[in-house]
Amino acid sequence: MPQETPEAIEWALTQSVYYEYADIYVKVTSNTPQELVDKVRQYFNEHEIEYTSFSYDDLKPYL
Amino acid sequence: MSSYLGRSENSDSTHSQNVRLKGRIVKQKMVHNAVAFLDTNFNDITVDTSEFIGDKLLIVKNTTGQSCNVTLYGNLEGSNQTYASFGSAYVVSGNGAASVLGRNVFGAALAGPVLSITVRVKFDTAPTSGSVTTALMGVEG
Repeated sequence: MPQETPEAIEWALTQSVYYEYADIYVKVTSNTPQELVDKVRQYFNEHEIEYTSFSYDDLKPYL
Repeated sequence: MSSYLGRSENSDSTHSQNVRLKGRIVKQKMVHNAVAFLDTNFNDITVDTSEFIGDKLLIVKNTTGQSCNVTLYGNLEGSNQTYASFGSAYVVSGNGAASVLGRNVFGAALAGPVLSITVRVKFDTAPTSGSVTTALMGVEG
C-alpha cells in the first residue's frame, strides 16, 4: 500500500457516499468496507498517488 | 419472604416438559472483500462451501462505474479438469446496487451440494474507481 494510506483513510472516514440508484447517503466508517475502499481509491486518484489493486483486507492494519 | 422468587417449588422431574429448540444458522462467506480492481485480468477466489446445505445466494455489489462479468466454477475432486463452469457469465452493472443471484442464474452451483466454489470477476474495461464485493450466503448444515 502507498505510504499515504493513513492520510487517505483519515480523509475517507470524514466522507459520505451517495448512491443515486437508491437516493441515499452512506457515511463512511471502518464498518463500511466498500465505501471505505472507494473513498481511499478516490483520494489516491485525486492526489495522483500510484497504487496497485487492493481490498478492504489491505486497509485493516491501518484501522 | 422473597426467598422463593425465581425458583420452582416443584422439583419432581416427572412434571418437566421436553423443550426442543429448533433453528438454523445462516452464514455469510466473504469472497471478494471490496476489491479495487485496476485491470481486466481474471480475479478468482475459491471458498469452501461444503458446510452449506440447500440453496445458496451470491451477493455482488459493484461500484466501479463499469459492468463486470461474474462466473462460478466448481472444483471437481479426482478429475483432470480443474474447473467446471456453472453456466455462463452474469453481467453486473457498476451502479452500486447489490445483485442477489440464486439458482435461477447459476443453477446447480447454488442449488446443489458443492464442495467449493470459485467466484471469478472480470472486467472488459479496466475500472478507474470503485470496487467489487462478492459474498456467498447459505444455511449451515
